[in-house]
Amino acid sequence: MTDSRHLGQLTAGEVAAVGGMDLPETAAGRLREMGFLTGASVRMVRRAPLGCPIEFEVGGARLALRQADAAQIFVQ
Amino acid sequence: MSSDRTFALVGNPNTGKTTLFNALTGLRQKVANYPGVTVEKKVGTGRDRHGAAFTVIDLPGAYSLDAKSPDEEVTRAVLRGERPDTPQPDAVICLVDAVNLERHFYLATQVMELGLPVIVVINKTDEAEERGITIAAKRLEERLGVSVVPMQANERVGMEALQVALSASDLAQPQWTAVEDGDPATRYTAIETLLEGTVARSEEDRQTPSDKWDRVLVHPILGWVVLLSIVGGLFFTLFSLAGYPMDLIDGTFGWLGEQVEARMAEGDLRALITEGIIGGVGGVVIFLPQILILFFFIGLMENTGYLARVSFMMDRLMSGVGLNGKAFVPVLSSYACAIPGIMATRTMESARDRLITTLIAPITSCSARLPVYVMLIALMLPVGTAGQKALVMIGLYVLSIIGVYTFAWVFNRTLEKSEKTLMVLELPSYQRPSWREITLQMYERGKIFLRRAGTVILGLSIVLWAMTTYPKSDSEDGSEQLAYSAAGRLGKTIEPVIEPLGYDWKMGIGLVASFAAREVFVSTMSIIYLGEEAEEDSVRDRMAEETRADGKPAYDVRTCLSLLVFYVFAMQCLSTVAVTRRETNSWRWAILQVVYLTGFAYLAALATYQIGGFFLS
Amino acid sequence: MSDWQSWAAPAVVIVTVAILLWRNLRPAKEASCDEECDCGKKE
Repeated sequence: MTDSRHLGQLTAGEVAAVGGMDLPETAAGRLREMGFLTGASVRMVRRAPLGCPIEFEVGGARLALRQADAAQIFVQ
Repeated sequence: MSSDRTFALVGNPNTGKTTLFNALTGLRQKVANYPGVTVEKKVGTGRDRHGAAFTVIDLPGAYSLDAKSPDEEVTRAVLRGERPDTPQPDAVICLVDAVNLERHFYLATQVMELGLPVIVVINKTDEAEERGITIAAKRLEERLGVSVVPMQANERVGMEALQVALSASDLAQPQWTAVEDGDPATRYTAIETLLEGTVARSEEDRQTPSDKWDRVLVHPILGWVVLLSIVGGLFFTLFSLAGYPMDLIDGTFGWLGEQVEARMAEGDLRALITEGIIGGVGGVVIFLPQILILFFFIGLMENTGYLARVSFMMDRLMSGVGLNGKAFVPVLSSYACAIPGIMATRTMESARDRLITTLIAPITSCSARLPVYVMLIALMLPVGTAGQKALVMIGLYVLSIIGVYTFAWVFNRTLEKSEKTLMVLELPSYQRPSWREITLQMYERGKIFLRRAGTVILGLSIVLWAMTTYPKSDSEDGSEQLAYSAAGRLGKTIEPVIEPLGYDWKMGIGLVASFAAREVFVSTMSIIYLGEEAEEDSVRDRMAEETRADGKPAYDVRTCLSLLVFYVFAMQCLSTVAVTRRETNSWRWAILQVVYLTGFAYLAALATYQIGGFFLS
Repeated sequence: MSDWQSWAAPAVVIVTVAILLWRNLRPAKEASCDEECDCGKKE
C-alpha cells in the first residue's frame, strides 16, 4: 500500500485512475459522492500558487484537495 | 388560497439555485433562519400559469442527503418532513448542472427516492454546449416519467417550460428504483445506466474558457496582484467613495433635526427626538453605503465564481493556523459585519473549523468600528494629514489581522482535536456576473440593516438618552446634570476600573453603551457632549476641548490609542453574541467569546496606555 | 418650556423599554420562524 503512488504526486496534466483511500469513513464517503470512485479517472489540473491545495478534474467537475488528503488517495 | 402548492428547490452548491429561486419569486421572498441553527431559510412565492400562487423553499446546497454539514442536515430534514417549523414540500424542483450531470444526479436520485413528485431542471446548458456536451432531455424525461427542463437560469432561458411543468395539475412521481446499497459506487452505476445514451460529449478539447481565466487569476504572481487589487479597490471604495453618499445621509439627518427644532418648543420630548432618535439612528444609518459596497464586492466575487479561487489561493495561509480556505469568505464578510461572517461558516463541514472561525470572526474590523475609528483618529491627530490618518487606520486593520491569526492559532492548539476532516473545495466555472442578482442581494442586506437601525438601534438610542437625562438634577449645567444621571453614576462607578487605561467616566459611559453595539459609542458621544449645552460645535470639536482635572486634554494621543486598541479587540455586539450562541448551540462558547475578547482588549489597552506613558506626554 | 413634554418624554422611554423587553424576553416560538429569528441575522 505504502509504495503505491498517490494523487499528491501527480504532475499538472497527468491523468490517473483512483485506487484505494486511507481516510476516515466520512471523508472517504464524501469523496466518493463527489466522484472519486475506485477506477474513476482523475486529472491533476494545477497546484494553488502556494503549492497547496491541488486542483483535480473528476467527471467534469473541478475539485481542490489539500496535499495531506491527496496523499491518502492512491492511484492504480 | 389555502391549498397553495409548496415546492422545495434542491441542488448541489454552485448550481445556480439562488438564480432560479430569484427568477421564480422575484422580490416576493423572505429570508429568515431555521430555529436552532444559523442556516438561512429562504421562502418565496410565485404564480403559475393559471395565476395560482405557489411557495418555493430554497433549500441549502447539498452534495448528498447523507448529511455531513449543517446545511445538508437541514435540506434532508425538510425534504423528509422532519422539521416541525417547515411543512414537507408537495414537490421538489431538483436542479442539476449540465456539465457534471452524473455527479449531480447523485443527489437527484436520492431525492427521487423520497416518494415526492419531482421536476428535474438541467441548468447551464449553454456552458455544457460550449464544452461540447449535449443532453437529450426528452429521452431522460421518458425514462424518468417526470418533466426534465433544460435551462439557462441566469438568462431566464427555459423559464416558460419550467412554468408549464410547475402548473401541471398532478405532478408525476419519478420512475426510479431506489438504490438500497449505501456505497456511492452502486449509486453511480445506477446513474450511469439511467443516463446512458442521453449525454453526448466531444472529448477532444478539454481547455475550457475557465481555464483561460484561471491561467491569470490563480497564476503564482498575477493571481496575487489581482487579489490585492480587488481588496485594495474594495477598501478604497469603502473609505473614499463611500464618503459622498455618507455626507448626504449625514446632511439629511442634520436637516431633519433642524426641522424638528424649528417646529417644536424646547423641552424633553424635543431633546429625545433630536438627540436620541435622530442623532442615534442617523449615526448608524450613515453606514448604509459601506454595507452596500461590501456586499456588492462579495456578491460580484461570489457570482462570477472568483470567490472559490480566492479560497483556493488562501487555503495555505489559513491552514497554517488551523483554518480552512473556506474560512476566507466568513472572515472577509466579517469586515462588513461579524454576523453574516459567522453565518457564512455554515458551508464548512467540520464543526471544529466552524467553531474556530466563529470565535475569531469578531476580531475582524467590522464596519461598525469604522465611525469609532474615524472619530478617535481625528481627535488623536488634530493637525495630522490625511496620509497619517490613513496610516493609523491601516495599522488598526493590520492589528486585527494579527489578532485573527494569533487567536486562530491559539484555538487550534487548545481546542480538542476532532476526527481529521477533509477539505474539498469545488471550483465552479466562471460566469458572467448577474447584476440583477447582485442588486437583489444588496437590497436584501440593506433592508435588513435598515430594519435593525429602525428597531434595535432606535430602542437603544432612546434608552441611552434617558439614562443620560434621568434622574434630573436641579442644576441647569449640562455637565452636572450628566454626572447626576443614571449613565453618569454608572460611568463614575466603573471609573476606577478603566482609569489605568486612561479613560474618564464619560468615556466609560460610551464604553458600556457600546457593548450593545459598537457604533453606539459615536451616538453616545453625541448625546453626552452635545446634550450638555446647545452650542453649535460639532461633537468632535467639543471632545477635543474636553479636559481632565489637571487641565490637559482628555483625548490625548495616549488615551485615543488605548481606546482604539480596546475597540479592535473587545466583543461589543449583542447581535454577534446571540448569533454565536445559536450557531454553537450553547451559551458556553458565546460567553467564552465575550470574556476572552473583552479580557484581552482590556489588557491590550492597558499595555498600550501604560507603555505609551514612556514615549508620550 | 412646554410642560407636556416633560411627561411625554419619559412615557416614550417607558414604552420603548417595554417593547425592547417584550421583543427579547417573550418565549421563543418553536413552531414558526418569524421576525424573532431575523433580529440576529446578518445585519
